[in-house]
Amino acid sequence: MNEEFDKLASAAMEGQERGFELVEKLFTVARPGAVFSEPVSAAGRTIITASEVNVGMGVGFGFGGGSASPEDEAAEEGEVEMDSGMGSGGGGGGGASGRPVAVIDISEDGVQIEPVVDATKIAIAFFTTLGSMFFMLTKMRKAASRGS
Amino acid sequence: MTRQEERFKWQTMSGETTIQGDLAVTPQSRALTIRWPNGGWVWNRPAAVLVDQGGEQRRIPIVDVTRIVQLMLYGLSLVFVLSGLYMMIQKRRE
Repeated sequence: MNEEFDKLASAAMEGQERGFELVEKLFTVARPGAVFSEPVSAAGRTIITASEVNVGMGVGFGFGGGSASPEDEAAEEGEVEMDSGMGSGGGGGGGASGRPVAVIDISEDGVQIEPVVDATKIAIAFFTTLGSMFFMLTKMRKAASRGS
Repeated sequence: MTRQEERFKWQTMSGETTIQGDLAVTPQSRALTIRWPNGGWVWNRPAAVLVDQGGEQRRIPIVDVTRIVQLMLYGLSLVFVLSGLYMMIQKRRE
């Protein structure tokens, strides 16, 4: 019984350690290397891409065990063993996203930064704005017609 | 480092310098790190480029055009909704 408990406990601890290691790896994203690409040189120009990176993560673990006393009569007779149980569990979740922001162009003429425009994101924002304006105007018209 | 600083970190870091002719270019990134027990969140974005040309240093900021346009549109939407609500409340009071 104790052996089983120890095995389970060590397995749970191992899983927990791995989870914590993974969380620590997450913070390496804060380095500039995660944002800027390796420079690529060709025809007298060097290009570096710059991107925005967003990473989030969380892990959780639980472990427990317990025992319950057998029925009184059975305990007196000494026929029944103590009921016991144990268990452990863990889980985690996370997400990551990246988006190019600009391209750094280095040449003999100097350094130029070309922005990268995400048309999809701008279109979503534009239609959200348009939708909210339309919704608000409809509400205002209804309120005005009720008032008159 | 205090516990609060360990949990929230807003830092600017310089990357590797690239040399092309007499130009030395060093990219800079700005990262926001938030830690909580058993997890965390990192937002890292390019901030600027430091250009060293013949001893003369210059800082060129990297502008996130998409983010600026997005914020402007969402801001406009918020202003429109809030002013509409304000006008409707004023009308009801009258």
